[in-house]
Amino acid sequence: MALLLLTQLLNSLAFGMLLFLLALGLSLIFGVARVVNLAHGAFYLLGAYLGLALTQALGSFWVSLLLVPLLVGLLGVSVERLLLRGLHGRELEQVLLTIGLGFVLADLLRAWFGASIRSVPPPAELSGPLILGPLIYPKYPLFVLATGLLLFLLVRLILARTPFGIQVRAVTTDPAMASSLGIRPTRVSLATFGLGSALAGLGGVVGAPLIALAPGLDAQMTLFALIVVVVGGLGRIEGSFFGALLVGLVDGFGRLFFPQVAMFLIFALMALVLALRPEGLLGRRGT
Amino acid sequence: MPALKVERVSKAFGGLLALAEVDLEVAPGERRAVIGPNGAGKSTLFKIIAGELQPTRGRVYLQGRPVSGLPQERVARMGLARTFQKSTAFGELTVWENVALAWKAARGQERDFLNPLVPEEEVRAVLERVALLPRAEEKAGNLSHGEKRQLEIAMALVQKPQVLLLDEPLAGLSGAERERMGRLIRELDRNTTVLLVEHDLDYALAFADRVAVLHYGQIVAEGTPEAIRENPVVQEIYVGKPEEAPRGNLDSSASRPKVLEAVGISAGYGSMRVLHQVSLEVNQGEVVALLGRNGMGKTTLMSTLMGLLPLQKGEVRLEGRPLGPLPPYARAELGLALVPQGRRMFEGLTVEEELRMAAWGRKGTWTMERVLDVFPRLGERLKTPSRALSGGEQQMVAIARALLRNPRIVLMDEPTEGLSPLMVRQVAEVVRALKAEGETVLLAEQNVKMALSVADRVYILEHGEIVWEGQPQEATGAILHRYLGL
Amino acid sequence: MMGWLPQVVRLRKIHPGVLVLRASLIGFLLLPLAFKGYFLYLATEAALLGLAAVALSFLLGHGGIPSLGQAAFLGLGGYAVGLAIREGLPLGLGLFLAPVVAGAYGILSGLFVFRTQGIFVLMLTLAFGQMVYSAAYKWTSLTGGDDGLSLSQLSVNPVFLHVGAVSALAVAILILRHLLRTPYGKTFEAIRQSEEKARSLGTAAFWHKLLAYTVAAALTGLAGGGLALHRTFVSPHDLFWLTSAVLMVMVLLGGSRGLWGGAFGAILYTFIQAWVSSFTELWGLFVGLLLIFTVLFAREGLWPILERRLGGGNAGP
Repeated sequence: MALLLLTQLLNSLAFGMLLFLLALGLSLIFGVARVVNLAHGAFYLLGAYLGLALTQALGSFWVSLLLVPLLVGLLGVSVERLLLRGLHGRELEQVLLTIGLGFVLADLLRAWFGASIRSVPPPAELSGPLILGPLIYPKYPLFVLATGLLLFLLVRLILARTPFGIQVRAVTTDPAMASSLGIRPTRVSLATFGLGSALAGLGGVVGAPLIALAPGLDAQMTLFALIVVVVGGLGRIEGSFFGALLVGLVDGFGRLFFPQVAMFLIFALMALVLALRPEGLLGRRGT
Repeated sequence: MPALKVERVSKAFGGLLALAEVDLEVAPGERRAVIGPNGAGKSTLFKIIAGELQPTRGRVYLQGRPVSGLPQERVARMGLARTFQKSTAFGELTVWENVALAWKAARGQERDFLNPLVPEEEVRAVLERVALLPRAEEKAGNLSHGEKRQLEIAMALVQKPQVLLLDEPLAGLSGAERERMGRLIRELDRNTTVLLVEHDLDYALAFADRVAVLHYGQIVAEGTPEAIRENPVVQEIYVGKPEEAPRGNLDSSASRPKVLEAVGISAGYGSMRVLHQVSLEVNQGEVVALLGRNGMGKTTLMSTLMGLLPLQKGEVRLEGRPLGPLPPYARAELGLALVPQGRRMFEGLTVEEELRMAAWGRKGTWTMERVLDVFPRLGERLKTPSRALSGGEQQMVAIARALLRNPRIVLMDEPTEGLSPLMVRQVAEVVRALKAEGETVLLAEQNVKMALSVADRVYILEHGEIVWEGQPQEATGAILHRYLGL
Repeated sequence: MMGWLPQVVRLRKIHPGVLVLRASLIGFLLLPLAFKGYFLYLATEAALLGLAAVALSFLLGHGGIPSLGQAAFLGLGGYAVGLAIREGLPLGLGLFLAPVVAGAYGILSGLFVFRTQGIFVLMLTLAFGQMVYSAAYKWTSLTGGDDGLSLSQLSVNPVFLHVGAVSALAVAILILRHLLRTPYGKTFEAIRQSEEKARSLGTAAFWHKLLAYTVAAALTGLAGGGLALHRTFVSPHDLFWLTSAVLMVMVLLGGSRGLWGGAFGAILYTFIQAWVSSFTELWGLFVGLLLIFTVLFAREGLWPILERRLGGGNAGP
C-alpha cells in the first residue's frame, strides 16, 4: 500500500510540475500583459507535437527540448505584437482573441498530425525504471520533476536578480510609473509573452511522454493551467509552484480514491478560491 | 439629535493611518464644510460616511441610526445622497433616464420589471431646477463637463436626501458654470443637511454655517467660518508663516538656457478641463516652484509634462524640442525625471532594486555611490522592501530614483505631502543640495513656506491658470493670502 | 423646448429599414418549413442556439457580465428533458423542468459569481460550467456518461418543434426587450456603466445581477431542452467549455448590444459551420479565424453594421 501511495505521489508531483510550467507562463502573461491567454493549452500541444516531429527529424530529444521552446516563444511574441497589441486595455476582447487563436492552433495541429492518440516514448536515456530498494519507478517522471524544480529556481533567479526580472515586477504593479522611469512596458510585455509561451512549449515537449497527445488536450491543459493560477495566486511564482503541486496532488489522489468526484472537486476548489479569495491562496491583493 | 454623527472614526490602510479619531456632529439642516490640504483624509471620510469603506474603529450614525458596517446601498436608502468628484453619470443613458433611475432607486422601485421607465413630473422638475431640461434627451456621455456636474446634482436632489454629501462640486468648473453651480448649491433646500468638501475656500467659507478642518487625518479646528479664517493654526497649514520664510537664492536666471517650456497647455480628464492655457518655463540650474491649493491643477500639470496625461492643446518643449505625444518612457529617455505625488514605490521591490532599475542604462554624475552618499539612510535599508519604509524614507527613494536617471530636469510633485515637519525640512535641504549641484528642478508644492525657501522663481496656479509669477521675495503676505490662504 | 410626457413615451420610431431587416430574420427562420429536411434541421438548431445566444447577449452586452459557463445551463436543460423522458414523465413537464433546473443552478452559482468582478467573473463562470460537465461525465448511472443519453424513442414532429423554437426565440426577444425598457432593465445597464454610482443611489447591484443571470440561465435551459428534443441526444460533450466559447462567438459575431444580434450570430454560425463541415474537418480553424477577425475588425458585431446600413442611424434593442 505504501508503495502504491508513493508511486501515486511521485506521479502526482510530476504532473504537478508539468502544470507548474504551464501555469507559470500563464501567470506571467497575466501579470504583465494583463491577458488571460486561453490559447495557452494550444501552445502546450503545439510544443508537444513539434517536439515529437523534431525529435524524429533530428534524432535527438535534447535538441528539440532546446529548440521547441524557442519556436513557441517566437510564436507568442508574434501573437502579442501582431494581434494583441491593438487591443490594449480591452481585456474581454483579448481573451476572446486568444480563444479564437486556440481554436485555430488546435485544428491546424489536428490537420497536420491527425486525430488519433499518439503516445510518445521518452528518450532512451530516460526510459526504463529506477530501482530504489523496494520501489521501482520509471525514470522519466523523475526527470519531469527535476526539470520543474530547476525551472522554478531559474525563473525565480531571473525575476529576483536580473534587470529584466525587476522590470517585469515593476511593470506588473505600476506600469505608468515604470514608464516614467524609462522602462518600456510594451517591450517588457512582449518579452514576457515570449517567455510565457516558451514555457508552455517546454511543458509540451517535456510532458508528451507523460500524457498521450490527442485533440482536446489543449482545452484540458488550458483549464488546468487556469485552475492552478487561480488557486495558487496571481503575481507570484511561488503561487504557481505550490498551486500546481496542490492541484497535481488533488488530481492524482482524487482519481485514485474518489474517481467519480475528483474532477468535480478540482473545479469546486477553483470556484471556492475565486469567490472567497480571488487573488489566490498565495497571491497578492491588487495584482 | 444630529443628522449625522461621526464618532471616533479611525481608518488605517495597512500601516498608513488615514483618519485618526475623527469626531463630527452635524445638526439637521446645517451646512458644514470640511476643508484641509491634500491627503488630509477628506475623501476617506466621505467614503466611510457613505458606506463605501468601513472604518477601522468608530461608528457613524445617520439620524441616530448606526450605519457603519452597512453596504453603501443600504446607507443610500436610509436617506444619504452623494455626488462624486469625478462625474459618474451613466453615459449611455439619456439625461432624464439618469435622473429617473436615481428617483426610482430612492423609492425602492428600481426592480420594477413591468412598466417601462418614463419621465415623471418629479424628474422634469429637478431637471428644470438644474437647468438641464433642454438637454433631457441627450445621452449623458455627450454632455460637457459642467453639464455633467449639473446632472450629478440633479441625481442627488431627486433622491430627496436628508443628508447630502457634496464632493468638490465645483471641481473643473470655471466662470459662468462655476457661478451657476455655486448658486444651485446655495439654494438647496434648508431642510437638507449638507456636508461639503471644496478646495475653493472662499466658496466653502461663504457657504457653510460651520467649518471643520482636517489635517493628517485629524480634526484640528472647528467653528464658524470667521473663526476659522482667523485661526492661526489653520492659516499655518495653508500658507505657512510667510513673514518668517527665508527667501531663496536671488541669482538672476535670465541668461540661462531654457530646459523645459510649457506653452499654452490645456489638459484634463475626459471632458473635464483642468488646465487652461498654462505657460511656464524652467531654466538651467533653477529651482522653480509651482504653488497652488490642491485641486488647482499642479499634479495635472506634472502628469502632462511627463506624458502620463494627454494634452488637449498647447505644447511641451524640452530644450527647444517639442515633445508631442511622446509616451513617458521616451520622455524619460530624453531627460525628464519624475518624483511622483504619493511616492509610488513598487510593490515587492527592495530599495536596492528600485534604485538599480532607475539607474540601469543611464550614465552620468549620479551613480549609486553618490546617491547613497546624499541619502545615507537608504544605504542602511537597501534590502528592505520599498513599501515598508516610512513616508520620509520613501520620498528619499523617489528622489534618488529620479536622480539616478541623470536627468536634464527633475519634476517633483508634492514631495512633502504627508511628511512630518522634520522630514519636510530634510526634503528642503535635499532640494537645496540639488541646486548646489546645478540640477534643474520644477517643484509643485502645497507647502508654501518650504517652497519659497528653496525656489528661484515662483508660479502660482489657481483654477488651472497661472495667476502670478515672480521671485520669492516678491511673494508678499498679501499675494500669498490672496491666492493660497483663507 | 422638448415636448413633455406623452411625446417622450411615444411609440419607438423604428426605421422601416430596420423593421424589414428584423422581419427577414424571422422570415429566414420560417423559410425552411417549405423545404424540410436538412435545411429545416439546421434552422431549428439555429433558432434554439439563438435563444441561448440572445440570453447571453442580454447578460454580456447589456449587463457587462462575461459568462463563459452558459453551456452548463444548456446541458442542464437538455438533461432535464432527457431524464424526464427516460423516466416516463410527460414532455411538457420536461420542458417545464428544463428552465427551472437551469435557473436554480444559475442562482446557486450566481451567489458566488457576483462576489467578483470583470475577468474573475469569466473565470468563475467557466469553473462552474466545468463542474456541471464533470458531473455529467462521471455520473454515468444518471447520465450515461460519455455515451450520452439517447432519446431516439421519441419522435417529435420537426415542424412543430421548429415553430416552437422560433416562437420561443421571438418571445424571448420581446420579453427581454421589454425588460430592458423597464426601470429594472435600465438599472441593469446602469450597473454595467458604473456599478459604484448605481450602488450609491441605493441599488443592490448584487441581487440585480443575480436576477438577470437567473433569467438568462432559465432561457438557456429552455434552449437546451429544445436541443435535446431536436437532436434526440444529450451528451456531456455539449457541456464542455468550448460550447460556452461558441456561444460567445455567436454573440460577438452578431453583436452583443441589441438582442437581435445574438440571434443573427447564431444563424450565421450554425449555417457557416454546417457548410464548412461539409468539405473539411477543420471547422474549428474556421470559427477561430472568424472570431479573431470579428474581435479585430468588427468588434461591435455584424448585425449593428447591417442595421446601420439599412436603417440609417441608431436603432437600439
